[in-house]
Amino acid sequence: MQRDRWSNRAAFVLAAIGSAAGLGNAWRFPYMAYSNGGGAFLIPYFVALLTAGIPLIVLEFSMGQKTQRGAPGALAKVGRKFEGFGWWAVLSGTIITSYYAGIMAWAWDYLAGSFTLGWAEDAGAYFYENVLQISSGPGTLGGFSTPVLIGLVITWIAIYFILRNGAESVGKVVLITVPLPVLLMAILVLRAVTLPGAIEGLNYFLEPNFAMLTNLSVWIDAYSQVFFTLSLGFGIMIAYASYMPEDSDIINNALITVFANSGISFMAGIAVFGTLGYMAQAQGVPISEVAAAGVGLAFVVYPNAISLLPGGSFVIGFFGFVFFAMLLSLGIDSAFSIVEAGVAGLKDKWGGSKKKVTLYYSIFLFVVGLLFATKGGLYWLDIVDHYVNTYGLVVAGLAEAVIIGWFYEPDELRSYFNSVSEYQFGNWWNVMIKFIIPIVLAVLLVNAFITDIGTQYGGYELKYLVYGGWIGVVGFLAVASYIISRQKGIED
Amino acid sequence: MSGSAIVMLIFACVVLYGGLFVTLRRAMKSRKKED
Repeated sequence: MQRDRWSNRAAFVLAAIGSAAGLGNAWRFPYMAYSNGGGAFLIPYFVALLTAGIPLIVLEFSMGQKTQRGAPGALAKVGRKFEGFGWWAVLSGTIITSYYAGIMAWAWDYLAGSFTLGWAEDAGAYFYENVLQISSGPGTLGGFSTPVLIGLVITWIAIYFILRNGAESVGKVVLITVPLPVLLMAILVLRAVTLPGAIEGLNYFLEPNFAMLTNLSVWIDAYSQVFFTLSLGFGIMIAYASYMPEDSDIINNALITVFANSGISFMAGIAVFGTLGYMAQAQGVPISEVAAAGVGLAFVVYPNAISLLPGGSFVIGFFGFVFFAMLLSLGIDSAFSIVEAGVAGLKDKWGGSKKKVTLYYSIFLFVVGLLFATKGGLYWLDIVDHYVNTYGLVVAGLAEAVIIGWFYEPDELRSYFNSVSEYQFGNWWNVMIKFIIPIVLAVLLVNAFITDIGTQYGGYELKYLVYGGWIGVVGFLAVASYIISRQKGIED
Repeated sequence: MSGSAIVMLIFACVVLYGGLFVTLRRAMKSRKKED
């Protein structure tokens, strides 16, 4: 069967950048830098990029391009017994997309709210009462939140129509969805740096505290940030690279993706901290009191900061619209790329029409994601997100590095990607794949495991962590990966 | 903005956007060669 192909190299690179640059670039990196030594965080961050991010993304591009298969098929070509780890990666992505689409649903609601300024009076109340209609805890699902359900339907329709024609339609969409958030972010940066108090905010973001570099947790955070920001361990980069001809440049494509993705994160840091500096000054409080990350930053703190902008309701609505349109355009590439990783794995294994596989897979993920559209959905999202990021993705990345480093000849893969690339990597790449990346990811894993055993994540009751995290995520990944990998496919 | 914050700003811009510029230029040159 003829494999999907990108229309050109630019389409592939843009799709890879779009996948890597997601919501985390806007809401995770700025806070990570601020809380880990400000500007000094850039040093461990760049070290982590060089020693883990770049080697691992080159590994994923090479595996996909060389084998012309998605993650499960690519690992099966190394050894049949390794296919399960490919499914582990793909299924981790499956879980993530199911709630990632829910987060995008909130952004649709806020985007619509930019016309009525629904969130401008009190973004916290708007988020918890109007959008989520939040219940008392994970034990009370409380039915669906209608605004979230509507947003979820819109998100899945968009994902399906973008993916239904494969690399061809994705290649066209990313021409818009990758430059658009950068342009919108540039508007936010320009507004942020011209606000009173912005300089104080940027000082918090960039002023280096080099003493923090002696702290091990800063280095752990830098490596985890690099690992998550590049969409590694999902099998996405393997699937995308499998649609490239075998003789395409690998190293330069990987470097462009890495620099562009980190450049977007840095830009987001300037937009966020410039605006928070203004907010802190306007409210007469220190920046440490308004600085936040994740959902709280995007849906409560930042909208509150926008609502304080001078210029009246048109300006507030305009910048709110720009911000949420940026979040949506950042998120949509990441969401459909994860779905595509699953579609590629399923098609490689059992064949079938691209449109049908995409449709059924999207419907399945939409149905699973309905849990996160309930009034108790935020609690479950928080639990599932913690476990799938901590154990799903890190185990997948660790497995990739160990399998290629120890069960496959890394020199052979390096010879391959060097032979098709303009830049060349030396023996240091083997050292990173065999030793540094497995050690770093094992440290992340053990560190998280010890924390999870010692304290109940998020203060949730143990039964919810067991059902949602240990059984719902870790148990599901282990059992489903094993069972799927044991099934006969079209190539067996 | 403090001096040390400006230094880190320049450092990040040179590494990230400089790196992006160099790699993009290289990719464009190789495309011209292929054409």
